[in-house]
Amino acid sequence: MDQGFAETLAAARVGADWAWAELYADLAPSLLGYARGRRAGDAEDVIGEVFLQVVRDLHRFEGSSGDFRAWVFAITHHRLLDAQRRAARRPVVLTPDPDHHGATAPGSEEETFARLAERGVRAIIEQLPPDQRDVLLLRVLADLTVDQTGHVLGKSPAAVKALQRRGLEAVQRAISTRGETLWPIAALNQ
Amino acid sequence: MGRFSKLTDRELDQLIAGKAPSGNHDLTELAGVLHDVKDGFQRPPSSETAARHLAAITQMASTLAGDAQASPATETPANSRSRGLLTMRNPLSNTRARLVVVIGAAALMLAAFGGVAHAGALPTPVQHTVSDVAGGLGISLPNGDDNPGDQGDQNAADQDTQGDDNDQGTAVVTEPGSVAQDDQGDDNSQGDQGGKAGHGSKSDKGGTTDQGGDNSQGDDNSHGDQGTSTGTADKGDQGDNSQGDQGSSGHSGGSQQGDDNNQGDDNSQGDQGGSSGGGSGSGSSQGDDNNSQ
Repeated sequence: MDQGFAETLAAARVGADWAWAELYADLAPSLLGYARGRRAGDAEDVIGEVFLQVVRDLHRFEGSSGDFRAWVFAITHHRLLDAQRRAARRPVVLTPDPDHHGATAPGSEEETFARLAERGVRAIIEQLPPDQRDVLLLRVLADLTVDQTGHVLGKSPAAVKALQRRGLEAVQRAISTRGETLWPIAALNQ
Repeated sequence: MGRFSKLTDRELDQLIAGKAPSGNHDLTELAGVLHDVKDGFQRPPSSETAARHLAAITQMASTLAGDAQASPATETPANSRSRGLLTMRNPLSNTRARLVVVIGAAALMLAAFGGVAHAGALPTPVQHTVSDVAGGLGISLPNGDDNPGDQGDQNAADQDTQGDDNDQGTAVVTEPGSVAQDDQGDDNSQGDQGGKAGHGSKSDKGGTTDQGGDNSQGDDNSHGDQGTSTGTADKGDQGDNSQGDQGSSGHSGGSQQGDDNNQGDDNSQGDQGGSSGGGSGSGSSQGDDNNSQ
């Protein structure tokens, strides 16, 4: 994305379809992953809203591709917070989660392993305090630097480093507690 | 905790990327889990969702780009930025609103100070100014200079510090058992100070205390009371005719204390206090007059 980013951005500013398709293809998976990691109920809808806001506010952005990535994740983060607040005001209707129960997941073996891996990882991620969870998700999924993560979360780099260290310690403890069986992909890769 | 704090930023970045730093084989499993986090969560949206999103994105982008091309001369980023925001209007930009604010402020000031000015209870310079201004408007308000009570209050103000001396003096001269009353006398002198700021109420309170009390405090308060309430002053003074004298002797007592203290400066101040007390002899004489009444 770094290569030709300025041209892509300039084309997106004038409404070029190919530029937006490129930006979407590059960012949507990690944005969706961040929304999933934060347990957003309507993650895909949130991402759609995020991109529409990016289209509206693109004239306000100036910077590199890394800055653009951090900017889009900051929009996503705030959108998720808004969605979380809206959900807190609405009555909660509990529905079965197919990812957790494995009732429906037709697909390839790789996808099945991926879902299993997500199931185990999700259990770990959900146990983390929100600040540590957000830092790890942004660092791992979004490939953001410490400074960019701090920009998204409104925290200092030192605070991000501290949260990252504590989050890694918590994951390490969870691994030693739960054992290796919950990480099939990790086991296969080793 | 120390395990990860020993890692460098580069090693931590490597671990976050899903690779165990060299020489840290115990972190291999953790690196694998972090790699799984990326693989497990980071998946593209379904093709239908992606198509729907892209259709909305390109439609909005082309619309905004068309708008920008339609008015390129006037459409600057700053303009387009403010288009979607609520414009903040200055609430005082309207002349009528300004007029309402000015009238409201004037009414508020009148309500706040009108009663006090009518009672003549403002500080003398302020009362004088207000009286002049109100007189120009045809409104008669007491002038601070014309109000003997103010003189009394000023005298009382002058005598406040003296009153403290008097209190000390009368603590010895007058009723021996009234030490607590002397303390009240201090309160009274405070009351006189209060009377200096707001004559109407606080000096009257002092006068009330004088009625219940005695000694030189009554002198100070009698001055204050003369300015505000002759009736209470009479009561106080009727009980304290001699105390008025005691009060004057209290002045001398105060200066004598100064002499006893051999505090040269204090003595001179005490003497000045005495002389100012003499200067305020009009107030004292008024007190005497009232007393005679």
